[in-house]
Amino acid sequence: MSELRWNPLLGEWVATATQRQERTFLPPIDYCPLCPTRPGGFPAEVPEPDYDIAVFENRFPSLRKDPENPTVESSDLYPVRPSQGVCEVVLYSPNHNSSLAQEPVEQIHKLVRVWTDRFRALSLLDFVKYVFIFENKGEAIGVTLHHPHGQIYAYPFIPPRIASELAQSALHHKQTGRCLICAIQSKELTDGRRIVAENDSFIALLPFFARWPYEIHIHSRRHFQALTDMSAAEQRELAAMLKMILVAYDKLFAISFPYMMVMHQRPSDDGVYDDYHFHIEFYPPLRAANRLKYLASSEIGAGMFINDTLPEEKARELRQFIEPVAWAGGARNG
Amino acid sequence: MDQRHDEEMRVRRTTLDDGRYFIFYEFLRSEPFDNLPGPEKGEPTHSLTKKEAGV
Repeated sequence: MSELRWNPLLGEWVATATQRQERTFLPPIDYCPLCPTRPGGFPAEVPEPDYDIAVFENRFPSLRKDPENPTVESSDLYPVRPSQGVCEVVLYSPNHNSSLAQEPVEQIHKLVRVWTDRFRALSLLDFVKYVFIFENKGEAIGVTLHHPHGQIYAYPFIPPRIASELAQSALHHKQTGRCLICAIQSKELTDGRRIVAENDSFIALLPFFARWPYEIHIHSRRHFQALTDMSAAEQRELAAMLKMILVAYDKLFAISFPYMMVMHQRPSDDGVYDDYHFHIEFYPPLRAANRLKYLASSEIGAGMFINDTLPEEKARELRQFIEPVAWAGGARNG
Repeated sequence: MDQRHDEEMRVRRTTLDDGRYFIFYEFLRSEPFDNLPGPEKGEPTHSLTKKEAGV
């Protein structure tokens, strides 16, 4: 049973998806549904004995292309609509014990190209207004399957966080004639204290306004709005930047580092968003090796994050773990 | 601008027993790093909308 319920207090949709309560939870490796189906083995979701990168519809989706009609009544105060959309799972590797950080940069490059293909395909569905590419990694985030994977949600509306960024970007452009993220990038490159890594096409920085202790934003140097705007060289540079950041995260506390990774790009409706700027954000929940930053009342109830750490210090910590990326063909970048 | 330049990626789609689609991405070879085209100065950054794509 699932539907979208309108929250009139905040002016946003909430999805109810009761079927997700029964989804697979931390299965042992022999029963991993995301591993290839080996002959004589557990019948996983993957219908073949091997794959490079694969994408499939989530078995326990919050949104469906053909959703059932809501079972609760819609009203003027509480509008209700079918939970139409798409939920996909992206399998990064057939290796159950791997992670995106551990995969070679060539595999991450393939993933960037897969993301681009899925963004293009899902954007063309008439009911899709926003394609959201993301990864939840680690039990600390609430991950229920360890196999390295990410997800894609194609929403039938522009989600609130994106709507805020779009509004702020438009306002800044109206006030200054400049892109907001271009302005942030320029200021950060001049300052330098919060820059974590750079390559020819991307910059990784720990934001001046970071909400999470080790939050990182990856900006494209060039002003563009979506994956489909990238050149082939930029696709490779993005893969290299992701590899640098992910490896640095794992080295920070010498653990497989938990995080939320989210990709912010233009909506897929008929709007024009030329003042928006493609970027990726990381929200790691750890504030120390064995300490989580919990979201409590100020964050959830009032919307004000409290960061117990200084971005300039955390950026300095991460910088020491940044290493150039070596491609199999011998080229090095980053 | 929708930059399509992935001739080395093959997409194979199948349908599972419950009607869900499953897509396999297969890669033929990697581009030599030094020979990749980059963005040219003055390139427009407007992305293809649904209307422009003919949807």
